[in-house]
Amino acid sequence: MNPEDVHERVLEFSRIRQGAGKDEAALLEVALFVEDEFGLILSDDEICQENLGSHQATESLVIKKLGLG
Amino acid sequence: MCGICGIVNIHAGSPPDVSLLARMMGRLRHRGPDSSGYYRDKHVALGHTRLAIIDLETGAQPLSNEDGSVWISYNGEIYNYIELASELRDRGHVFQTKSDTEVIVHAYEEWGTLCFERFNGQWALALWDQGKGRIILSRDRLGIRPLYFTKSYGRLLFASEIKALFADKRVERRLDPAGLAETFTFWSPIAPRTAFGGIEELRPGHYAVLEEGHIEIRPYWSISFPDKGSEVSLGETENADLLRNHLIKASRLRFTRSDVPVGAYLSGGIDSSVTSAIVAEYTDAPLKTFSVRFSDSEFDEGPYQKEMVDALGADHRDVEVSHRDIGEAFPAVLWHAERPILRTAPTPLFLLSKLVRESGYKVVVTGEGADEVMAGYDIYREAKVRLFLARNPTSTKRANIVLRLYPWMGRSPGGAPAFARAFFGKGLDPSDPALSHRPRWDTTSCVKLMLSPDLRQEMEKTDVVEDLLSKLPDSHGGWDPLCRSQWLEMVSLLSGYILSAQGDRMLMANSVEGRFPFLDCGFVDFANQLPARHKLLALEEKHLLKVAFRDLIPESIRNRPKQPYRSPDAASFFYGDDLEWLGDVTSESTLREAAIFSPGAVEGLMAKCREVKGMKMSNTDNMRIVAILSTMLIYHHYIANDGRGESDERPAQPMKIVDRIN
Repeated sequence: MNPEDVHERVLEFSRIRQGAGKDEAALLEVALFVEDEFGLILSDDEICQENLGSHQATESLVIKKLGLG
Repeated sequence: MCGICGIVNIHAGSPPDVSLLARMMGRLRHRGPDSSGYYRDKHVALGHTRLAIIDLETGAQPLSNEDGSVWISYNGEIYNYIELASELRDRGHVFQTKSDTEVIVHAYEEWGTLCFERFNGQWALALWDQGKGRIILSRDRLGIRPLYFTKSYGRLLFASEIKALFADKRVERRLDPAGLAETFTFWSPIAPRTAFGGIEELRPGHYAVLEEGHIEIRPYWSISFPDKGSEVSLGETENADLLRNHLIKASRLRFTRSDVPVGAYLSGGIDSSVTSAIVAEYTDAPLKTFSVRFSDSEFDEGPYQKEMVDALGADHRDVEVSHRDIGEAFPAVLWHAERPILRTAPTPLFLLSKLVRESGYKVVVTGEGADEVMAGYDIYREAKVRLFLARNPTSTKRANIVLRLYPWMGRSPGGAPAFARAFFGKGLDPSDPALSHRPRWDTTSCVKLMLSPDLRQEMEKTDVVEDLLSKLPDSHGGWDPLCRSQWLEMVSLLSGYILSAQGDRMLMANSVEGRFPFLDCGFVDFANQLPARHKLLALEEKHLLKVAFRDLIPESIRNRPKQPYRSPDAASFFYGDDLEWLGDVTSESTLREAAIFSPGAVEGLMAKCREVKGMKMSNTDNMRIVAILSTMLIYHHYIANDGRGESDERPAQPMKIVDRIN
C-alpha cells in the first residue's frame, strides 16, 4: 500500500458519497469503509467530522495511521 | 430446454423397462412439449422430452456420434457451441446436425470428461459411452439445470425432476429429516441432499461416472476467490470497462443463440434493466419484456418497470397478481418445486412464465445471479455492519450505522441502536466463517418449533450448519469476508432455491427456458477476481455494475434502494374466502398421518392467521405458515400420492425411437 493507492481508493469511495449527508450515520459509513479497506480500527473519538468529513481529511487520516506520511 | 431421464443397469440384468421410461418421460412433458425420444439397449435407456430452441429441424434427441457408440440425452444450452464445433471440425469431427447437443458428443469424444471445463452454458446431461461401458451424468457449474438420481433394485434411475423418479412405484417415497433440516435452516436442501430420502441431486460443477457397477462423483469446477489483497489490481474505471464487455458478450450470446425469439424479464431493478438495455443497445433483436405486478402496492414495482420500458421502447406485457391468485396457484407451484418453500415468491414467477408462454415465447433472459455474483443482497451489507460492530464492541457510536442500512429506522429515534445491538450484535465472532449468515439461519430455524417432537429429534442428529461449513475450500481463510459470504450464498441459496424452486421449476412448469447472463462462466470468473470494494463499496451494493452501465440505466433505477423481490405470504392464504385445498392439507387427521408438524402448533398458528386474515403478520409467522402449507402440499403430492399431479403422462409426439432390443 502506498499513498497513491490510498488516494485512489478514497477517491472511488468519495464518488458515491456525494449527497450522502454529514450526520453521524454517514460518518460511520466512512469509518466502515476505512476499516474495511485499509485494515484499521478507529476509536469513537476518531470517528468525527474533522477526520472523515471530506475525502482529503479521510485520506490524511489513513496515510497517518498507516505510517505512510 | 428439455427434460431428461434414464434407467441404467448397475450390473448385468434384463434390459431397462421401456414402459417405465415412457412414464418417466410423461412426467417431464412440461419440460419438453415439442417432441420426445428414447434410446435403449440391454444396459441403458435414455429418455428425452424436447423444448425445441436450437436447430429446430434436426436437433431431436437422443443423439449419437458418427458410429453410434456415444449417445446423449441433454437439457440445456452450450452458448459457445459454434466456436467449439469449429474447433472440433478442424480436428476431423463430422457433424450431422446444427445443434449444440451434437457438439457435446464430439467434445466428449475429443476431450473426454475434460470437455465440461470447455462448456459455457447451462446443462444437465447423460452420456452413454457404449465402447467404454460407462454412463456419465454432468451438471453445469452453478446448478442452473437440475439432475436427480436414485439407486433402486440394481438400477440407477436419473431425471431432471424427482417426480419422474417416482414414476417407478418401487422407488421409496419418504421425506428426509436432514433434507428438511437444511430447508428449515438455509431455505433449501443443499445438493446432494434433497427433501426426499434416497433421492440425490448431482452437485453443481460435478459429473458422475457409473462404470463396472461403481459410481464416482468428481468436481470439474468450484467457486473460488483470490486471497484478500491479491485480487485484480486494476482501478475502478478499467474494471468497469471489463465488466461491461463481459456482460455485453454474455447477454448477446443468450439473446442471439436461439432459433426462436427471446424475451426478457424486467423487474424494475438494476439487473434485468442492464440485460434488457444491452439487448436494446447492442443487438438487432426486437425487445419483448415481461413483468410481475402486484395488486398489493407494498410489493409492486410497476412505476420502475414502466420507467425502464419507456427508456428502452420495449414491447411490454405484465401480469398483475393478487393474494387470491397466489393462494390458488400454490398447490401447482409445490408440485413443480418438489421441496418445501418458506416464501410464496416463486408463485408470481410461475404465473409470469404462463404469460410468457401464452405470448408465444419460450425463452427469456433474466437478471438472476447478479445479487450473488455482484453482492446485491442485504445479507452482505448486514455482514459488513456486524463486522464493524465486532471490531469495537464497546463503542457507543457504532450501532447508529444501522441507519445507513435501513434509513426507515430513523423514524423511531433511539430505537435503531438498540435494534442494531440486539440483532446485529448477537453472537459476534469475527473468526466465524458463517458470521454473515447466522442471523438468517437462526431466524429461519424458527420453523422447527412447529415440528413434531419425533421429527425434530431425528433432525437434530445432523448438524447441517457444520456440514455446510466443512465444505468451505481450505483457502477460504485468506478470502475477503465478503467472498466467504458470497460462497455461502451461492452454495446454500442460489442453486437450491433461486435457480431451482424460484427459477427452473417456475419457468419450466410452463415450458419456458431461462437464460442468465450474470451466471456466464466467464463473467462469474471475472467477478470473483474483483476486489471486494468493487462489488460492495462500503454499503453500496453492486458498485461496479452501476458504474459500468451508468449511461444506459436511468439514475432513478440505478440508485434506488434495493428492494428484495417479495410477494404476500400469509395473506395469500387467509385474505378472502377459504381456499379449497387449505382445509385438506391442514386437517388434524392429515397432520397426524403425516407426523411432520405438531397439530396443536399448526392449529394455533392457523387461528392466528384467520383472525387477522394473514395481514401484518410477523416475519417468522409468515415464514412458518408458508413452510407448513408447502411441506404439507409436498406430503400430499409426493408421499400420500406418487407425484402424478395433473400431468399428461404420455410423452409428446413425434417420438424418436432408437431401440436396440426390439
